[in-house]
Amino acid sequence: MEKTGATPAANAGLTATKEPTGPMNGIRRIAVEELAAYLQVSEGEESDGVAASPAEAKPAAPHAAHETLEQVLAEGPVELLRGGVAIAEVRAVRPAEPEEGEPVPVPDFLARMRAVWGDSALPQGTTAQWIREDRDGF
Amino acid sequence: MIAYLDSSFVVALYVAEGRSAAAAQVLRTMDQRPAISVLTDIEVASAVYRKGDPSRAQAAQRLYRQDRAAGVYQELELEPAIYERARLLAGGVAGRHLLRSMDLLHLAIAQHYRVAALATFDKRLAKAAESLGLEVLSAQF
Repeated sequence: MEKTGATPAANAGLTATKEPTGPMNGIRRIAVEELAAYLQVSEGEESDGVAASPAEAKPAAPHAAHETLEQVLAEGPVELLRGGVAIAEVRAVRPAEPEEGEPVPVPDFLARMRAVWGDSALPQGTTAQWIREDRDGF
Repeated sequence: MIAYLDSSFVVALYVAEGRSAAAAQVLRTMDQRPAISVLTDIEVASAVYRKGDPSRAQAAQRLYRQDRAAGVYQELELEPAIYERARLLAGGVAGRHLLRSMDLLHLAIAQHYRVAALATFDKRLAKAAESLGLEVLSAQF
């Protein structure tokens, strides 16, 4: 992803943490023993990132063989736990910058939403109202 | 033309609602990658998790993150000058349009990076943006 601005991107790689963080910090956690399951997912087993059932979508499911590590990291950093203690934080590296003039494919948003929502749709303006209520503190 | 996408516009691309088709159509017509900021990340996550059905919220958030990682959007960084600009806006347009801090930050980002347009489905932000000389996309409410 291109970043416009002066601050260099510095979120790549593996960074060990000294202090274990609390379980409610919002960061997904994976035990090191479970990491192999994520790494062993083959291309053919990858999900399309759309149709995760509620059961499948539980955070840090021990048997998340349908998810690749890349898919997990796409949602944010992950803490690796050993013996219940966070020992490292893993983040996705930033993708390569598109070449000048190189088109970035625009997703078929509607088709993807149909895969998630079927033919149902919330009333017009619902999501804008969500944002407004968030800003207004409701 | 670079357009900055307000969160009210972005969420409609990931949660099916009455304006989703319009939002997708606007995006298809853009000749440059649309811009977002980390504020968008926060607001999109907050909206879908607080208001949406849990399983669908998870899918919406995952798709948004995937698009972000794929470079569908370009990120405008929150530079220090933006906060100062937002503070100045608080004494100007904020009162006239009942804007909140997050509104001011989005407007300040758009001004700081001199984007040509703001895509939003929020009436208050749209009117404020217009008053600042920004072209507003998808303002037909």
